[in-house]
Amino acid sequence: VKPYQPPGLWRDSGAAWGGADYKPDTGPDAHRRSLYTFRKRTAPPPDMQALDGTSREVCVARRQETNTPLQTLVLLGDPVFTECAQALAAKAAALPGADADARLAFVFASLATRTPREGELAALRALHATEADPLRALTLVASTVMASDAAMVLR
Amino acid sequence: MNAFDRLDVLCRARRAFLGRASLGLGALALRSLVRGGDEPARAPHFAPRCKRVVYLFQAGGPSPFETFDPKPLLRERHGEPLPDSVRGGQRLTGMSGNQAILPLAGSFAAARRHGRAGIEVSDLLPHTACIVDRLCVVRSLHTEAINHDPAITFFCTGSQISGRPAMGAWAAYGLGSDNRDLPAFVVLVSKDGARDQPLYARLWGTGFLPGEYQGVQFRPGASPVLFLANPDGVSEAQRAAQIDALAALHRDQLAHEGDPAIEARQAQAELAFRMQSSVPEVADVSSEPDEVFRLYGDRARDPGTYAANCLLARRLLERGVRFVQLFHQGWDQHGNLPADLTRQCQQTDQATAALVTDLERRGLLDDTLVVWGGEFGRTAYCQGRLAKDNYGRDHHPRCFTMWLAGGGVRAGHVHGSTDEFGYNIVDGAVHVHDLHATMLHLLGFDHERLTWRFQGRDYRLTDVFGRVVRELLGSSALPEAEEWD
Repeated sequence: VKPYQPPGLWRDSGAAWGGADYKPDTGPDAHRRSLYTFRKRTAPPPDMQALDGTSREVCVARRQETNTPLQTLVLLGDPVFTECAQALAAKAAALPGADADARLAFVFASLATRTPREGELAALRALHATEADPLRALTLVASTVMASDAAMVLR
Repeated sequence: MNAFDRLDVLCRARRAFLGRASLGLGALALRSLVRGGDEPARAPHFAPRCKRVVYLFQAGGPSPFETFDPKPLLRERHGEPLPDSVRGGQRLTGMSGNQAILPLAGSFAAARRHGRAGIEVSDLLPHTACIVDRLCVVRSLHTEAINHDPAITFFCTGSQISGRPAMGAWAAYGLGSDNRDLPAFVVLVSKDGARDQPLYARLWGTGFLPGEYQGVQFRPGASPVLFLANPDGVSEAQRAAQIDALAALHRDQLAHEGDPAIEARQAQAELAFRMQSSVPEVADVSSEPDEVFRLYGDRARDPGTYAANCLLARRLLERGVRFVQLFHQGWDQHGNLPADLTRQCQQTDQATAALVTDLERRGLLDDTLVVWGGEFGRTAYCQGRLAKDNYGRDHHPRCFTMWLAGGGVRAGHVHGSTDEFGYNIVDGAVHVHDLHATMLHLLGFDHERLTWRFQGRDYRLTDVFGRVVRELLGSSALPEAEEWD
């Protein structure tokens, strides 16, 4: 399965032999779990690389847990994640009879596996207010929560 | 903190408790705090001779005969078989090992002496010839690998087997970044090099070192770093609001969890935000005056070419990036060497010389180390059929030429020599590990003490080998070095 990758990645890293370049799948295949993602060791999937995926060249008993600016760029900008944020926002928007706070809490809980505290909810309300379109506003919120400590680190 | 760290701390706590309890636990608490946040950059072990490195990797293995190590004897004995006494029973590659004869091939290109130092440079490199007084030409490099993948991995990581940190990652780990808005280790791959042999992301990988030391590849075009641009529909103001929201979320989380790693994550998110303007700024060369493009050549106007990458390298170095590594592929001349090597030289010669000149006139050459070279040399004999005006050369790990410039190296100097066939080293042998030890020395590190504990032992760029080649160091670098003998 080949999820989205920026075009020309294999070519630009010099890893494309014979001109072969990555062709992302379209349709449902593009959205399957990353367990199935096609891996080329000479040019690994860039999102996994940024998020401490191993190179699979040596046995690793202990996974790295690093913290880099590239992770924020991936979580806020990689279509693999922004499309997830859109899908989650659509789910939240479709909740029957929920008020605005309940939708924000649903997004947060889906990603962080706990209900948001009041301070967190306030931060999400402020962000939500920057976009008039309800679906896009929720997408912005989902995307931001994905990049936050509450979603990334098990505590 | 992951499970292993926690276990490590518990084991240490138990040991500390059984031993010198109070002191041990105090140090422990401090360590876990430090591990939770940014790993601090190590300080150099002694006064560095250079602060930054630009490594011009000529991937494929440029021929020394047509560049920096001319051999008149090969012209005189053109077509005669390589004497067995010279080959000395060496095992050859499968590409030329089965040839009935190994005919010596004289260089098609003439070489002459240049500069005050009178160093021989081939006519294929007229611009490099003009800066030869700045160079320390090393004719006696040797490596252990005879094929591209292990040889290039060896040069880039100090091991033929993949999985070790790249030399730029070691430099970033040792020195940290000198610019708050850019990564410490940047990689540029030319788009105009012939893609005859692949490169691999592991050549600038971080191995077992933390991921922040990983080489970040800048690509030509609107988004030089992956996912730098905001996704469609997200305005700059909204991205700023996202970062603000993250700050509020992280403040709240920090108040409840008390883990400094939360602050570090916010700091990195803010760096990502700053990179959205600093990276396009450094990559945009349109503000450079015409005179700069005359220096580097017109190709420098075309983003992604070797020439454009040399110019970009200078802009990155100026802004405090520690380690810039350029890769230019296409130096693997098994056949059709005269035409293809000429093309390679034309693509790279002017910009290479321009980079050295440009660094010098900006006062950066004194503390910037420039390295030029490939992963191995080429055979004195012809691979395949030796035609009247065409030939090729196979891989040759026993000897090859590289050059260094700037940052504390001896300028206008030739180190080491090869036999008259250019097949074996006669004196001054420099192993890949020795080059790494010398580079780290120039950066202020004892290569035996820049280590990282992994799988139960301390690893180094030089593994358990390497010696600093003092003959390559400029005179001003010598007294400093001797203090540490």
